[in-house]
Amino acid sequence: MDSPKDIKSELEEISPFLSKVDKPAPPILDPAYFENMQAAILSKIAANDEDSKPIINFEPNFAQKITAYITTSRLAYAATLLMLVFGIAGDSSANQFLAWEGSFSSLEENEILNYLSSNVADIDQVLFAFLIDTDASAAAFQDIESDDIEYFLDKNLLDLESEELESLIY
Amino acid sequence: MHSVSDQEILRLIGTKSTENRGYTLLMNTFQEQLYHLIYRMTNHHADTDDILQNTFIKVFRGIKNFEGNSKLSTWLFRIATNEALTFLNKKKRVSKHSDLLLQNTISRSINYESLASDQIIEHLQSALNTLPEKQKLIFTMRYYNEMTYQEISDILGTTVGGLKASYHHAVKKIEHHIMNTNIIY
Repeated sequence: MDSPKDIKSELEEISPFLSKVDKPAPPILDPAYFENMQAAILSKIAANDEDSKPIINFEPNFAQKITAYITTSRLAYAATLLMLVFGIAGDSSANQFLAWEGSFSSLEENEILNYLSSNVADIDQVLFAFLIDTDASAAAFQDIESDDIEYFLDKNLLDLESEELESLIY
Repeated sequence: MHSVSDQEILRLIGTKSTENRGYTLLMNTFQEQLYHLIYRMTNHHADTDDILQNTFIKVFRGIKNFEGNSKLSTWLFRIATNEALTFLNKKKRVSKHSDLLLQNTISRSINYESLASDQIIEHLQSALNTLPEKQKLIFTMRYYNEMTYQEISDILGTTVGGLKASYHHAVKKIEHHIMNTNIIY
């Protein structure tokens, strides 16, 4: 039920009152409005405008949060994180885990940040659930807007419904 | 839905000699739809202009990596809605103080039956602004842009069932807001 007629019928069912209200007409645009926009955009791109943000501007922030969290609190979790990122969690042993923990602790914060910034798309649903499943990590993410998190996950964790995500975080 | 195919636009953009023609075609195809969607979210031309330009900057920068896993329109609307939501979230943080001042102004109830059509429209916009941003977006896409639930689902990544519930709640909230509206002096 998705034709304009169906959408109107649906509205009549939900709110007979609102269905009788005339929809506001879209704003009338000056025909010249769009004419120069393409040139302006291409010019901004060419000039590598510093104000423009990357497509997923949340990613560096996300990586930074992860880095801050794992470098300040839980090295053991950090080792697990890297194991998950590299996809070797399934066959990991206790010795491997300890080795990872040891090697991770020797990394500088900016090295971890650089790695995660460029590989953040590898982070999967399991990892994210793991990251937010502690009080400390929840605190680390609390100042990030839920829409930003949702958008990031939508781009990277396609199987996770937003409702499930909200229930995980909030 | 569009007379120009995604493939045609991508083919033009993918070739250096026709790249600019491809960008023009892409903008001509989608700019008004995107403008109207964003405008419904912001109700402000200058804000809409900023968001739309940022959207196209990101589209132009990213289109050569577009893999075609969705329709081009879905990808564009997704970038535009994310830009709009990010913008509105930032603006909301800044305007919290002025909202508090508004709440302290004197108001009185009015009789809905006496409202003229343009006043109803004004109240509709005012009601829309009371919705959470994502619900507002869903209402706008369905009510104004007359998108199918599947199209909205593809853009927002929310289930069709979740969208139907959100739309239903949004309509009810707007109805309630208009019926019980107050005029602020």
